[in-house]
Amino acid sequence: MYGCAFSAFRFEAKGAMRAALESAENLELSLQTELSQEEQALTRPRRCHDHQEAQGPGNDDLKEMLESNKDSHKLEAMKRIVGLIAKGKNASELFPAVVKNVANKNIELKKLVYVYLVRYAEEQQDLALLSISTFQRALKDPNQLIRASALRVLSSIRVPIIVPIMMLAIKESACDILDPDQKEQLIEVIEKLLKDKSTVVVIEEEDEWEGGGGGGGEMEEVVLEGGRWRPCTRCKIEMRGEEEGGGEGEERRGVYLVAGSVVMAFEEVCPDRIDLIHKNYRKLCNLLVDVEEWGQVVIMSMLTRYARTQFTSPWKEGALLDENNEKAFYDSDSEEKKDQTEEEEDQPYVMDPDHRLLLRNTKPLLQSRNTAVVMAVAQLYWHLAPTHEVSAVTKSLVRLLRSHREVQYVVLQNIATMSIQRKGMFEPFMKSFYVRSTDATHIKTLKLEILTNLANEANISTILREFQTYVKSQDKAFAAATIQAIGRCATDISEVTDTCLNGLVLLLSNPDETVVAESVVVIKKLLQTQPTQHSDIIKHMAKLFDKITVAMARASILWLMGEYCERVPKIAPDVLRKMAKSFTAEEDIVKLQVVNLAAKLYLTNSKQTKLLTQYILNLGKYDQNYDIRDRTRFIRQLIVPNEKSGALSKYARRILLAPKPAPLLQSAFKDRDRFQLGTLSHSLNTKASGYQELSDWPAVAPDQSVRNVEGRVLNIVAFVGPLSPTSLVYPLVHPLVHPLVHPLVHPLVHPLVHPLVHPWSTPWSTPWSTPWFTPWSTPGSPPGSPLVHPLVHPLVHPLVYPLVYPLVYPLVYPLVYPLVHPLVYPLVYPLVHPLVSPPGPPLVYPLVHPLVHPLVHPWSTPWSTPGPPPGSPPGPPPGSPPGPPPGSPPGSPPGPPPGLPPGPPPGLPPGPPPGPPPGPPPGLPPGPPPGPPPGPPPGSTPWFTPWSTPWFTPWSTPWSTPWSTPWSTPWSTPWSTPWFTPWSPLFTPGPPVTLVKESGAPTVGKAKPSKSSKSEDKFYSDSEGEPEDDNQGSKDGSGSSGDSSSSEGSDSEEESSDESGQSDKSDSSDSDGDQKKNKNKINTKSKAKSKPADSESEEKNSGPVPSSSSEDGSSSSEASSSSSEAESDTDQKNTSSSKSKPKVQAQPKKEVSLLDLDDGKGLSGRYLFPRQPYLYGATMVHLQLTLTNGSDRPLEEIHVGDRSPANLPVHCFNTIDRLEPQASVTVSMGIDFNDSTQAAIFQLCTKEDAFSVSVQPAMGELLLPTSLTQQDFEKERGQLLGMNETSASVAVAADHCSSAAALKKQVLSVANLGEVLTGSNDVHRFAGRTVSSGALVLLTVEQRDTPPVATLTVHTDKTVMASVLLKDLKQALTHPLHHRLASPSPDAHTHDACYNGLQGRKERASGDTSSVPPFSIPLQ
Amino acid sequence: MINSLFLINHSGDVFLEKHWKSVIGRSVCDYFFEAKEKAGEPENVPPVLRTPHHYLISIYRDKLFFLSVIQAEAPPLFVIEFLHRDYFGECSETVIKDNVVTVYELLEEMLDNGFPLATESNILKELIRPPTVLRTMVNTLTGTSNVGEKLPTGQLSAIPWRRSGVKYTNNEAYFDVIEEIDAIVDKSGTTVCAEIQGVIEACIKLSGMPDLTLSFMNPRLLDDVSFHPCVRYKRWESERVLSFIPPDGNFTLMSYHVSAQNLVAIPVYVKQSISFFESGSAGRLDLTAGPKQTMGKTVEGLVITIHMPKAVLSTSLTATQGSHTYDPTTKVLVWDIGKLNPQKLPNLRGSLSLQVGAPKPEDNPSLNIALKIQQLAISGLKVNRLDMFGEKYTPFKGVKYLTKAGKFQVRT
Repeated sequence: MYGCAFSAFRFEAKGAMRAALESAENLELSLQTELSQEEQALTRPRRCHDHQEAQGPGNDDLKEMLESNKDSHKLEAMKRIVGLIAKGKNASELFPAVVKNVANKNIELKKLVYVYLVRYAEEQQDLALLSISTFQRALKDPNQLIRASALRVLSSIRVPIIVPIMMLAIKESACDILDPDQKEQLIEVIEKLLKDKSTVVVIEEEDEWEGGGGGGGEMEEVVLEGGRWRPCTRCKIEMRGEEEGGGEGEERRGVYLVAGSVVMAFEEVCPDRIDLIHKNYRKLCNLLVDVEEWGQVVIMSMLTRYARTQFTSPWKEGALLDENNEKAFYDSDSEEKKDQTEEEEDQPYVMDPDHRLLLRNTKPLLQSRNTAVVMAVAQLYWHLAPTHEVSAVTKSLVRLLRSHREVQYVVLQNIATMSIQRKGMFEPFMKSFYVRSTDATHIKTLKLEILTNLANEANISTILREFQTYVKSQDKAFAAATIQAIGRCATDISEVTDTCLNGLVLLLSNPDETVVAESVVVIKKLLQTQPTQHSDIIKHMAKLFDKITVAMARASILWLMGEYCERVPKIAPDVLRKMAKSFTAEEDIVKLQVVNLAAKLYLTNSKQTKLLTQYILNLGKYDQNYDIRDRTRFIRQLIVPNEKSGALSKYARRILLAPKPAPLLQSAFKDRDRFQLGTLSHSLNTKASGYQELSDWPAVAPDQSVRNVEGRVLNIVAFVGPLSPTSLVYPLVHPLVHPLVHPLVHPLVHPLVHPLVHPWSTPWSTPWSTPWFTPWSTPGSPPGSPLVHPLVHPLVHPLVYPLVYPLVYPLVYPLVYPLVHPLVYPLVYPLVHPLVSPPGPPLVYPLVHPLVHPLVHPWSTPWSTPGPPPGSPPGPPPGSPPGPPPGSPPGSPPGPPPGLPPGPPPGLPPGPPPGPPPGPPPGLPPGPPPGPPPGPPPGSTPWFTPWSTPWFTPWSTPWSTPWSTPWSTPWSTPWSTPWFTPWSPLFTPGPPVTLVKESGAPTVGKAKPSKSSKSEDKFYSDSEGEPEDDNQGSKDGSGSSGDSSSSEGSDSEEESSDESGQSDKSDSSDSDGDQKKNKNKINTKSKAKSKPADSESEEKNSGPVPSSSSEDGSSSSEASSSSSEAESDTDQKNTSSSKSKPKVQAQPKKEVSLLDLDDGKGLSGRYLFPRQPYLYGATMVHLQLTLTNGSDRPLEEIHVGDRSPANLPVHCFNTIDRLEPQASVTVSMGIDFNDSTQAAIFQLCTKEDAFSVSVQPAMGELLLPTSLTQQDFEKERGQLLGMNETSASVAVAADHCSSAAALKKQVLSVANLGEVLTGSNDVHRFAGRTVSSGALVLLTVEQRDTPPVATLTVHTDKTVMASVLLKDLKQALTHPLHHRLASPSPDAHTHDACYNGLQGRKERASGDTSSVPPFSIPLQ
Repeated sequence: MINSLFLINHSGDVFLEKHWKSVIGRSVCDYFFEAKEKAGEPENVPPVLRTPHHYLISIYRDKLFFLSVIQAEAPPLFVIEFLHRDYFGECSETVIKDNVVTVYELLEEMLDNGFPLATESNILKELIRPPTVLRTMVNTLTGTSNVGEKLPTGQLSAIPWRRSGVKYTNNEAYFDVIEEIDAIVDKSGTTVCAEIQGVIEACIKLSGMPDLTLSFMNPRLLDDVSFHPCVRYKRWESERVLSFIPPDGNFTLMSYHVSAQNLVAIPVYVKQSISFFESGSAGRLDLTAGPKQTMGKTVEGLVITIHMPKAVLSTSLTATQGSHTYDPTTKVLVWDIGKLNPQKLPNLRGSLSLQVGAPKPEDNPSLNIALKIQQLAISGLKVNRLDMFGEKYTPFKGVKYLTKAGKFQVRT
């Protein structure tokens, strides 16, 4: 056969020779088996000159070898030729010699020839054409590889005229597919088809390149045909795969293999033919996981585009991207439009199941090892998924950063774009973006970009600290980029602007010019955006000016001086004076700026600078540099008025001092999101050729049915068809039989079948199905059928049901049921049921149900048991149904057992989860039928209805939608701990749980044992046991704590006045008189005024103001008890620890409401910061919670549930077993706020409920006082300069500046700091450490009396902390006292007591300073 | 997709080119050379470049640039991933030049019209048989070829990664659990960030079609995982076991990330003091390494690499253990310590001499640490058992643990 082919080839070639001139000559030569010397010589001059020298003789060799009869020689020659091609050498003149070997039998040789042909066929089209018949023959070769290669070569020729031949070949191969017998063949052809795809693409491209030239018309036709052919083939292939089913994996595999190529071809040929995708959409989605990885990428990219045209936006709530836009939209629009949009919004967004299908099927691919696949999923989620689901891709994207540098580059680019819009997605992974010194520069820059994007108030200090490291990098380009980044942070986060500016100013003295120049530029920008803060920085820069040597920086500073000379009226002329002195020695750019400065000063302050300016202009006039001479001349003409100067000088001021627009500091990735993520265009930030725009979501989704594939529907019909006789019989037979059979069969069959059929809808489908059919059809049931159905139903039902049901049910049921059921059911049921339901099943059912039910409905277990026991067949007497009366709202479940939460909040929209029917229709009988069931008790069916409907629906809605995740756990956890924990206070000083009953009520004795446990606990137990007797308790307290602390007497006067003021303030509290008495007693009785007493009385004053007066006493007393309790704890430790440790404690603040009575369903909570170190976690902030049960039933198992963020370190209080009505309890817990004021959100759970609460600490509460000597203070401060220094000056309100003490008091009320003793009366120093990280916080307050100004300076490396603290202090100091009392400032009531405490501390500290270790934190 | 591929060696010569669509002239590489010139270091060349008519996507590996030319929109990662795959193990210029025909044939098979077609090395090995010494001899004697006669069975089967008819006399399955610690430790010794990345490398030499199940003692440790395509994702989701029909030979079964909640044990600490004097153009260096949290195992292969500032000319150091070298051209100081002895901590100290007149380097160089700890997975991950189904013989099974330092950096 091959010989035949070869001769045919030769024949054809010879025939064509006459037509093809030059090449034909070559061909002829090569076709002659024996080449004469002369002919060889003839061919030589034709050789390509480029490579002749290099390979001249070699080519001859090669030719000879190709002519030889030995395959091994030919093979060797071909290998060398391929080597030449690979090196990029021109081997085209060997074409004739090579091409005749195309028919060689040796497969390896043949392949190499093909390799050669693929490369040169395009260039030597004519010659290649001559061999077409050979290829055609090869297309029928038994070796599939050869066939495929032949087709590939054929397609590589790229000549229009062979297109018909190609089409024929393709069609042939496509037709092969449909031959079902030849399995082997099929596989081969699929392989071939792979090539076909590319073939057509090649034609298409050919068409594009050649434009209208050549056989344009024909080409179009071909393309059209190709377009038509392709989808049809694909359908064929896929249908083929479908029919073969899973049984024959090989064909399926073929489909998987081809799918990618097919889509690739589609993307290249007709990417806008969305309509071709419809029918294949679902198939593609389902195949996706099994498609080879490269195909996955292409398919996902195509499906992303498709989905954007076919589905409505899942971002309806607008929570993410267009939050701002939407608001603006609302604000500006008219009422009508508002209504419209509201209407639109009223319809809850339901995701198209196909949309969901896509998201669901792509998610597993995040685990792919192929980075391109992961990226493809990420972009698909980014562009298609609802907001809250997008973060699913974060982890995987971050994982990709471990990959190769190039992968990192692309992924980081994409993350940069994403992080601009959704910081939250990547914030937890911030540390993954920290820069390593070994990263490539562009990787570093991208990481920096992302870090900057992620910066927010909470993490900025961490980020800035990182940046400080980066600034010092050896990679100066990167250091410069860091400075830019700092500038951006400074503009974005106002709290750190000052810090950043300070830091940048420091960088001005950096020896590296790039750094300095960049800093100056950034400072310049920052100053321009912040016009109010100029003078300070400019002054600072002027100070630094002498030290700075870098010309660029000097020039920039001079520019700034000039630009803002009016703001530094004293300094600017002086700088000019200095510059006049050193003018000649300066560099040119500096000189230019000196001239500028002089000109600007001349215009604004000519009196002082006139002479200087003239002097400088004179110097400039004779400068060596012509630029400077020019500038001088120009400026002189502009500013100095003389008769020659024209109109310009009038405008000199406006020209030189025109306001310059502030430059915008923003991310370079700001606008990248216009490109689809993961694309080349996105990477380059320009539209690459062939980029397909991602369309916007359609407002209304196009018809969904286009995606229905007829074949499948038909299948179903066919499947159902044969059964139709049954379906005819069914309505007749079923009603009678069903009640009999169903309770028996269903529980058995259903659990088996059900989970398979309904992966999601489990809880809903069962209860609905049964009542739906039965009660309806009962009346018409003929009596004879019960015999048939039991036989048919169990057999048929499981088969038909799973198929039909999921399809029909979700569509029909929600529509029909709510309409019909409520109307018919109450009427029909009571009448029909007693008649129909035979006596048998009820006996069975109650027995079966309790067993089966929990298995089937895992959700319902907790509730089903406490309800009316299903085991009691007689059911409720007609008068008292266990559930609420029929008229009750659908939201409330019938007969909530005690302890069951009273249902979902009624305001919640019944957003139905996909699949289940909407909530129960109003009027649905929620309990068992109201009509008296006569003889037989309620049968099987009624059991289902009352149970299932109300139980599931009301629950399902609130659970699934708003808090999808956090709910599941709290239910399981409470059981684990509560049994033993409450007793722990006995043995360990755990966070004490004190239950304090309302006065009169018996005290819950749980905490009592502590009374006798240790003698040190005396005070604690006293106040515990006799909460009413506050005086006693506080006396005790003062006594006991007085022991451990040095006493003080000198300030008693001040204090008593404070006391009275304080008690005045606490008029609102009912127990005022009591407290007053208490206070007085303290004042008079115990001169030894100690802190605990203060804290206690303070607490009383600042205690909660509960709604009912009865609560008041208890809550205040309990506040005191708890504080004293804490006190006794600390005392205990104190006595054991060395006396030298100062007892530095500040005062607790006002309680803040944590949970309202209304929100908490009776549970209310308040919290305060007792400013004590938390014993169970050194890094935790002590938090004291007061929980009150305001409802009329006891609350059980109060504990802390889920927190957000989930890993928030919280030391919870022990679960409170039971809280009687109107009782309250005070507990301590510790939260590690990680030194940020970000609110800690956690759930306060009772047995039934969980309430999300948040604790927002003030910055001052995140500190613990430290005692330092002044020397140590100075030393520490010396190490915290630059960026770690933040300062502000504030005009102090009259109230606070009356005395130094008043000021200190005010400061301490804001921040829990310890005072450092200083000799001076005007400078106050405070020191503390942050609770979480132990970072030192140093505060210096310099007081000036006239005017009453205080300069506050905070030194800490927690820069954000510093600025927040400063802000708080500023606020506290500027507001006059009375004003602040009126305002709800958290520390309104506390300052007096604080002051007292301070005094005490001062005394103690003064006594102890000698022995105080410099950094001791008390009690740790 | 991929139009052409150029392989460029370190000195900038194109030594192999392959075109899948029309031929694109070599001159397109000039744009790349320009960018390379600008970037200085080969690592700094931007991977994605734009030229007037084409787009260049390049990777740099094994001191070679793989430069692909594309003409239209395509996901860059797609191309990068394709180029980065290990198809023929070692890939250096000499190896490629020696096997240029094989490489060329491979490239021809791997991409069809620029679109990846067969990238599983098992399939490729059957399509084009890798040259071995033995086979070359046999071929020359018998005249048989390296080209597969038939379509590889794997390609169209349900398990394309495994060829059929594998036979071994000794059936063995080895798993290496390799964990790398990525960390940044700051000057004071506190950990700025640390995470553990792990891979499980498998070497499976089993006959037939074994179906393996690998389970862990503590699979919850694994936070983020990615699998070889052979792993059944659904089983992992539901049971946290790895169930798979393995490819033949060596492959990466999975890679994982240990969840951030777990604190990462840092096995070594380095006490360092590097200082440069304001005058005298000199500096001092003093390093001591010691074990920190090694879980009782020995730290081996400890190497500290320091990229010195440009101004450092030479060093004069003495080490109590190991050897140290300083390359004045690349400014890299390598201290190869070897095994870390907790009793006698290795120390390296001495002086650095700086270029005269150069400003004092403001930044101290950071230290990059490499280390190995045998028989320890630092995260605590443990393989529970390996079960085999589908074949009757009993294979030999082995698991090895290894902890390495990944991107472990100490800032100074």
